[in-house]
Amino acid sequence: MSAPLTDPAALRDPLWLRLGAQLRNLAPFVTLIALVLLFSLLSPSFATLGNVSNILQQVSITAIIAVGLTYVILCAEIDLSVASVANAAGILLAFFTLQDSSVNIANLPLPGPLAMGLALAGALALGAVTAFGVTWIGIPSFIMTLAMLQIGNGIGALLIRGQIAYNVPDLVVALGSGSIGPVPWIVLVAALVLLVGHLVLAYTRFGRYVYMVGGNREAAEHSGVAVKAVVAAVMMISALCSGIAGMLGVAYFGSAQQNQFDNYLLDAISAVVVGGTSLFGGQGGIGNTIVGVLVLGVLNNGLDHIRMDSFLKILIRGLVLLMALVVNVYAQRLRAQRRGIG
Amino acid sequence: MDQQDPPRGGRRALLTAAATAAATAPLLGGIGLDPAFAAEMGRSEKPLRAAFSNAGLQATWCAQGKAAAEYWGKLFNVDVTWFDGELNATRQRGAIDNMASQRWDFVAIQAFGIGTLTAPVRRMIDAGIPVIDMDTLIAPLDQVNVHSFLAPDNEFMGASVTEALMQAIGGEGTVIMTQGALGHTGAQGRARGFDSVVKRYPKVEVLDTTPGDWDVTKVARIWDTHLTKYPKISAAYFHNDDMALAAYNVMRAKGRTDIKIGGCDAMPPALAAVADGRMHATVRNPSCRIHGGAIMAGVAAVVAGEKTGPEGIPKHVITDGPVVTKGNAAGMAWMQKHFLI
Repeated sequence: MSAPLTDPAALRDPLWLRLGAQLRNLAPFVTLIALVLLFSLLSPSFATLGNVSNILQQVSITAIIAVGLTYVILCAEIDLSVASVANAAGILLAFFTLQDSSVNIANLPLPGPLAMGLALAGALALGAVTAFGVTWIGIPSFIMTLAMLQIGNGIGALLIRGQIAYNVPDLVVALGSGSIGPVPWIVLVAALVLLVGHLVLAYTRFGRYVYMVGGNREAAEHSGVAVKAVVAAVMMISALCSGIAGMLGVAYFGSAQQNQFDNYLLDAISAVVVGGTSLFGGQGGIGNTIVGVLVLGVLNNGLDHIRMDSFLKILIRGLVLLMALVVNVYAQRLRAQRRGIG
Repeated sequence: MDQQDPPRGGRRALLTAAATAAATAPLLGGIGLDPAFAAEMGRSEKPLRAAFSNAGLQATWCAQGKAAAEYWGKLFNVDVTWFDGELNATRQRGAIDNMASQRWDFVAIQAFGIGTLTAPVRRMIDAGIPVIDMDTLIAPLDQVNVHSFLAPDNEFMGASVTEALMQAIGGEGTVIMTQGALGHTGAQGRARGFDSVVKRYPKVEVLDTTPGDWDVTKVARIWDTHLTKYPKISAAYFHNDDMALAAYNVMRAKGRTDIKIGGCDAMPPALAAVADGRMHATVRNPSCRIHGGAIMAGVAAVVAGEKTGPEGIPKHVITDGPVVTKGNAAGMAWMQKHFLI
């Protein structure tokens, strides 16, 4: 988690003040525990090993996308193209894989590793275009990635032409839908991506630059940080993560089709923000994202384990997200007040 | 599961049973089951637990299906739990994963994205749960061994409404087809039906077949362009009624209400439109018959041990509905109100 209390003066503060300072980190964690307890009490089928595996599997794709998005949001930018880049990468992978004759698309079958490489390269290329637009041309990331969202969807539509492609390389099938013992491979891949994401953010100079750029861009520039390069890099990291998620997602869902990943945009942003990473940049991290992803995963899963009006479930998801956003903004204000007092 | 006993408990139970049998007969007739078999199958004494999911409850067709499944579930003592697909393939996959982690007597699913639910559906089938596929293929039938697939013949639906339109324009003129999403098997079938009829009318010219993707906003935009581009449009066929009614609003705004409109699904708003002449015809995609039929199929499988095959339920049950014009719109509305079609 971010913002450890290392200031000795802060440690002398009353407990409630110290807890208040950690509100951003504590609130999502408490929410997660509360949800787990609540659903365990309400449904005997919720707290089972099989269902834990189920939840982890369900959140894996969101988690991989959210890693890249965490970098972007930490830099006080946004990437609205994550889902469409994931979709384009998945469709690109299917395009470069031999499809059944019933799938009426003109594709270009290539060996599996090459198809995977090209799909990832495609995602990276889209990320590079976004990075160029945001940093060199100076288009706000909200608008630039909105355009990239359309471009990603367009590439997907052009290649798949309204059809459904079922085949992807065997390695991707194994990683997306296979298991090693009781543990699905996709969970392990997500864990690896989260770990690498955390290590880079927490223990490298680049990671510190990401926090600096998000915390105070002007100060970072004056300190000699190549802000444009950092922003460009996070945009490409985001696209890479989306590309990996898109390839695995196609295997997980068993098919590649247009607009398949649309809901991952809001899910991934929600996961990052619900976890406590600040929408204004500079605060948060992969730890927060893990908690956020799990809060959403447990919520989505748990609501399906209890008897409830189907129409109410969507509202409840929205209310929990709203609650998290209120805590996020409130924590931001509290921190600003403390800084003002200090 | 419990063996079915005759209803017990005097006159009230007798009346309930009689009402159930009477209400069920038309539906069973509709899906090709012998009503006598229903008497044999009957209600389960112990409530059965069934899980249902359809494409998304935002769609009126799906919401009507949910109401029908719950209605028929009550009659047959089936406790229906709903997993909303939210018109989103990945959300529905999550819901079906959650469904598969629980125990059910039977399940019924209409897939929003073909091929996206295969893994959890296979898990349920492997666990011995009868899975009934509704309206849209979960995956090609040789890939998942579903108990049965209850669906209309989309090609027939497309052809029958197109034929009604051709008759209305006297077999000559210009026509536009606004399709659903191209990857949807229903849309593909309806388009085939449309093509098969139109090619028999050499004096009919097809002006455009741009897909509207079931999206009424997109349809309004497309039709703004059509009406500007084409001064004469004789008829228009839409792959569902929602798109047809959205286009009608654009036509009315531009004073082009002379275009004969055909739709698909025959939901209540479209029935009203057919009755008052805004639409020429639509064809019923029988949501109640499909969802209610899934209850029957599940109960028959669990209570009476009905299997898939020549002695039991066919692998594919075609659940066609009729073409609806002014003449039968009122009757169709009544049957829908009582979840019969």
